[in-house]
Amino acid sequence: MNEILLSNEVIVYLLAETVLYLLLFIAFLVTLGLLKRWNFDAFTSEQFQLENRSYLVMTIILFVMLLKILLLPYFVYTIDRLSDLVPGAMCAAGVIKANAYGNPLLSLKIVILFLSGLWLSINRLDLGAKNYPYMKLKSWFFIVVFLFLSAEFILDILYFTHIETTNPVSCCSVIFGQTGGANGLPLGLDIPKLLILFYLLFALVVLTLLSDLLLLSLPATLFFAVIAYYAVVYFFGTYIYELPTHQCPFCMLQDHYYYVGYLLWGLLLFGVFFAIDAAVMQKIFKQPAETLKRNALLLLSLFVLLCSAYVAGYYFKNGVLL
Amino acid sequence: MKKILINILTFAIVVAVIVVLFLSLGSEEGARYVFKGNTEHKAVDIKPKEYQCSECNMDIEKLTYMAELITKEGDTYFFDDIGCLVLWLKNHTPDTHSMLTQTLDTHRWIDVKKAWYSRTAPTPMGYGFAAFEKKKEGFIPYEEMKLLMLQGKNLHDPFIKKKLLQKQ
Amino acid sequence: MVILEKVSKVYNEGTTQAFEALKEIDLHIAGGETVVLSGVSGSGKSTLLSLIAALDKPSSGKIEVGGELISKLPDIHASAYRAKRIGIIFQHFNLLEALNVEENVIVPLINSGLKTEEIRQKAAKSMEMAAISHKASQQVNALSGGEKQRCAIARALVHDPELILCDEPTANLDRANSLKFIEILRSLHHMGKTVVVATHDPLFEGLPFVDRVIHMEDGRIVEPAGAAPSADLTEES
Repeated sequence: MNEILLSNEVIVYLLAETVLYLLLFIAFLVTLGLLKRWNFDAFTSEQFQLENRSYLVMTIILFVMLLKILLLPYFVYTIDRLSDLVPGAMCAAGVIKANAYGNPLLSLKIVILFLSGLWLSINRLDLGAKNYPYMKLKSWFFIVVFLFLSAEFILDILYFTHIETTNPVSCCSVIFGQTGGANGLPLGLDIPKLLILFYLLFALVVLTLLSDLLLLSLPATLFFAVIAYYAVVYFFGTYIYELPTHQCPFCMLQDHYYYVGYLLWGLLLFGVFFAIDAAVMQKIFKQPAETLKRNALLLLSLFVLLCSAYVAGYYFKNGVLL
Repeated sequence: MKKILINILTFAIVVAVIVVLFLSLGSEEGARYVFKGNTEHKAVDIKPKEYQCSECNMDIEKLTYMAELITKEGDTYFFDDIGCLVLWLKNHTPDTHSMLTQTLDTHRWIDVKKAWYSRTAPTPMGYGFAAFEKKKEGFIPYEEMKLLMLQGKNLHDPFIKKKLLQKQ
Repeated sequence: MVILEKVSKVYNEGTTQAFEALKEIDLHIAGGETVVLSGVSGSGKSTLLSLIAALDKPSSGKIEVGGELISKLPDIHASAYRAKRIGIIFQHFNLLEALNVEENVIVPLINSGLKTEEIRQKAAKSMEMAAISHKASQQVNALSGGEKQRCAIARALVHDPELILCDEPTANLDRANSLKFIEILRSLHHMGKTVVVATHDPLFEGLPFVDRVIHMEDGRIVEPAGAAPSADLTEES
């Protein structure tokens, strides 16, 4: 465990997480006070102080959440680097499975990414108005996100302090591959049906965003995200690795694949986020969401193009498919 | 006009997605896990790919390594690898009547507890434990095999694999 | 036009060095009025102007300008309010020394969304009103005090604001330039602009176009300030 905690990346990561968490904790305490006493219609000295304080605390939260969004790829980079220290691990897949905290932690981080993004959106909306119409809503939302962030912080510490360098872990070929056993695809899907769903759902997301059917775009986008994950791991990834049995979401984050994993997963995550944000902004907050929709369409299109390009590229290079 | 076309296209895609999902889920239902009505509690002979392993969901293709668990009610569960049976029992407590395995040497169905297990066989799931009726050097009994399986000390473990294969 | 209700401002609030610059000010200024805030240095005149300009927030109380609540405006809206609705003339001019007169005058219109030609036209009109057109291409650091003040006036008027705030506008001018400044104020008054001047310059006493003189002392208004101007209050001789 010492080699893990003394590795540069882990030190930087945990230090950054600790500082950010402390800032958020302060923001949490101030927000509780804000929620208790906020009354925008009052012109008392207390209300003016609350308004000044709220501006400060929202700035802190904004700054921290932006940094946390950046810390997610750094977390993934860190665990990828740890694969050199953990026996049996060839990439982040093995390191994530080094203990029971890994997968919940990664899932939680992705959920927090989306929640933070939504908070930033609501904050922008609130600051754009003259009378802080969403102050209480975003404060309550921050309280909820803070609970998730607290769980994440605890899991971070538990995870990194429980990675053993003496026990071997499984590598991705065991975790994700056919030799590992199960057909990893859900709902009884096989590869052809998975790909049909992938492209159909992409088309559905595009159409629903273009035609403002945002209530439909929300479930379509979420379903697309799930199917896209499986499509990348079990099909498109094999063309990145140029090996039909190499099925792993993490190996593509490494340098020998030109770190394309960061781009791929980044495009998917941010594309999905903007699509969800567009639906929330337009349907719940009745705000125009043209830019958000455009961003979602652009990012998801680039994602699908990138995935397809690897397959097309392999075919044109070799004349066959894997 | 453009909006109508988009709506029609959207509807068509939603229908297509539902159709694909139904086909997939339907095909999963078509794959079978349990043979019911085996009140005689005998081993059930099956064809390759007719049933799927209850633990790992893979089609049972290599019948020589398979195992079966028969409940008192006559439900028969199939496993493509004895290791899968052990893992399945970790999370399930059925009302078991008998657990049977195919043997590689005599090609008979025998009680899993009476069989001897090699550690380096090319089993479908790669765990390495294959059942034999007659004991040979290096073979281990069921309880030891079960313990090793639950501890993860099978051919999936690179250290164990290296150790066992070097011995050979 | 400008309504202040129970406005207070405390600097360093909550510390041992807390200082109450304004104490429960009630003030109504009608549209088109020219009002002089008089009082010695430290009476709270400049603080009051900075609150009306949304350059600072009060510690308590309500400030409305043209029907808009400005005492609680978030920063970005406060900037937009200053950019669109008010013109400020400062004691020390606050010009950009590295730019020339015309460039200083067009600064408030940079983010206005207007075309270059429109901006140039507005700047020309504003410089003419402030009688500084002949120095349009002159670098500001080469201007005299009076010329700098006229450049500042042109800048304050370029976006045609409804409210003009002047903070000790003649403090750095000689008598001749001060009188020229007062002439410009007179024409602004006749244009229907609302003008508020904070000054302790005696030249502003007894001016016929000044609707009201409000005396401030120790953060309070010491003469009635809430009513519309009556015949008794419009002139001080």
